[in-house]
Amino acid sequence: MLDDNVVLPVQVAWLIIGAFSLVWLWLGWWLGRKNNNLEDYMLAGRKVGLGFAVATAMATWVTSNTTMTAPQLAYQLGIWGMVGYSLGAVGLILFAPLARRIREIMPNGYTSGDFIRLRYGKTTWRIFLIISLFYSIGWLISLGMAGGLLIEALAGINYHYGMTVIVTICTIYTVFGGLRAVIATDFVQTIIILVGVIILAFLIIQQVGIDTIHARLEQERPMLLNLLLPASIMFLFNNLFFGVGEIFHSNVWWSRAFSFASGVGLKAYVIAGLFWLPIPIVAGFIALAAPALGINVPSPDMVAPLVAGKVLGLLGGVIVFIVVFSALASSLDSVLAATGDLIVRDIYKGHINKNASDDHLRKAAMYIIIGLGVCTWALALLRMATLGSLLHFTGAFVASTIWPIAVGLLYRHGNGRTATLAMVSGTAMGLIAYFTIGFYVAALTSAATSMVIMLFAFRQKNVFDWRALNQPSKIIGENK
Amino acid sequence: MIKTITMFAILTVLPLSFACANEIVISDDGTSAGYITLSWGKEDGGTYELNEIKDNQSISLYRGMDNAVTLSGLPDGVYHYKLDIDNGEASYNLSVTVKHHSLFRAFMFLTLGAIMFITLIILLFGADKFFTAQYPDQDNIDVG
Repeated sequence: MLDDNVVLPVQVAWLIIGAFSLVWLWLGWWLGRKNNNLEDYMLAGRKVGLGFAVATAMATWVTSNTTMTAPQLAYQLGIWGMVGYSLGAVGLILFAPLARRIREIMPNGYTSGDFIRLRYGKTTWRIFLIISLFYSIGWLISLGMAGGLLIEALAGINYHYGMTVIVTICTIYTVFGGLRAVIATDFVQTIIILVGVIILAFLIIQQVGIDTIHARLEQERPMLLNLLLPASIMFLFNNLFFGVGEIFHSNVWWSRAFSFASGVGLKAYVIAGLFWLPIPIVAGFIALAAPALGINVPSPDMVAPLVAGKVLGLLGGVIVFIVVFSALASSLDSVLAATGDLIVRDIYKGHINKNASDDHLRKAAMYIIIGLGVCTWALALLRMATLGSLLHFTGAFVASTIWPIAVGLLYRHGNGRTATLAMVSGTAMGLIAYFTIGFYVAALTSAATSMVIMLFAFRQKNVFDWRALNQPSKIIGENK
Repeated sequence: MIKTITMFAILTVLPLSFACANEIVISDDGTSAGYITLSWGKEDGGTYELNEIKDNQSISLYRGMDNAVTLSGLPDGVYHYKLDIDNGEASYNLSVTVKHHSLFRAFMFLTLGAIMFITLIILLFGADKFFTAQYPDQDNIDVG
């Protein structure tokens, strides 16, 4: 769709892609050598310290959605769109006490599926797996799409080529290095993202000026500055609950809780949330400069790269390219690894090959990650939706899991039937809201429905015995 | 599952993503939120000019080779757009009505969100003491 806004020479783009790909691949290979068993491969030996824990939580949450969808929402929904997106940090902060709790009550756990199965039973577990895998695939597609869009927007390279390269590189180093490689690359990528975003914001404010941006918005797009823009008011808590739902249920965050050393999870998630909070605001602000610069925005999810490229030319293009490429890689590898774990243990080991050994599972994990990469590539080829609409569609699903997980982790009340009903009804109502009102209320409606049902759990007399969560024989594949 | 994703995407977004020939269409409809993406079919080397017609005057919104424009921050109203192709060799018109959600509905969702947020905070940080007091024989935290 783009022709007028290319700022990065094709050779420079390929050079950056090549250089960073080599670094990530080398790290994946080098760190992969230290994996001696399945626990090393899937959970980095359960010994991740605070520094790496903060970095991986933050880098994984700074995704293409932060660097490209936050500007899109600022461009579409104005000031509250930008602020609303930053409320995604609340999910990380609220997960902090749960991360500590998870480590305490399930020291031998591997996946979020382990918890749901032991806490609520097999029916709830299977529904949860459908929701979780649906979300993971949606997230992977949005990341693959973001890679293709970024490269096309900045360098004019065909979407399909750019997307293919990014998905392939991330898949390869995740296969080689497992979670250890994912966390180590996240650390490097966090530093790149933070420094890059700060430099970009500083340069854009310096060159365009806040007064100019405000004046042009007031003249041409007054509703973007209107704090009473109805859709953006509706979006505020929607995004908060979407973020909470994503984090509470996803094995990306549970696998980290299991992999962090004892006592690290609580601090790591709080610090990561606080560091993450300003990033969407800074990224979103970049989008608001588009009208002042007279930039045409063919697709709203490309607004940030277009603005940076227009204002800063080659330098801006290079910085944005590196930042988003790092953000993409840090999330793509994490989702691939964590979704691979979920499929290996909860689907392959749990349903297909119950007697598989650890060595067999480790090989299966590698093949499953490759399969996920291929699946992501094939679906991203279709380029079915904008990033924002694709992502928020999954909000109806994940927000329905918030209450079953929070209640299930902290209270003895609530059984499988209540949790199942909460997830199914929440998802259904969220989808109805998505189609009848808009993407900006899907997660909120889903979470509200689920909450009402789960509150009935406290009226139930039967209570859960926590010891069922900490029995090695009950964990799938755990040595008896 | 993949089939489900594809099906939903096809039903919701795909029909809007491809403009037929050069006809101008809304490819991302956010008319209740004040934003729209207008797009049209693309021909190699073609140049396009999108104008808004307001009070019988033409205001240029875009001129170039892209085949889409996203407009946002639009107040309630009816907007008339005209697409000229290759300096007027062909032109297409489209009218779009923007009508925002009511503030009542917006604040209903805001209030609902605030209530849920407070409930979640209580559940995560405070309620264990309340429920432990209510059910003193049940330990809510220790694994045992």
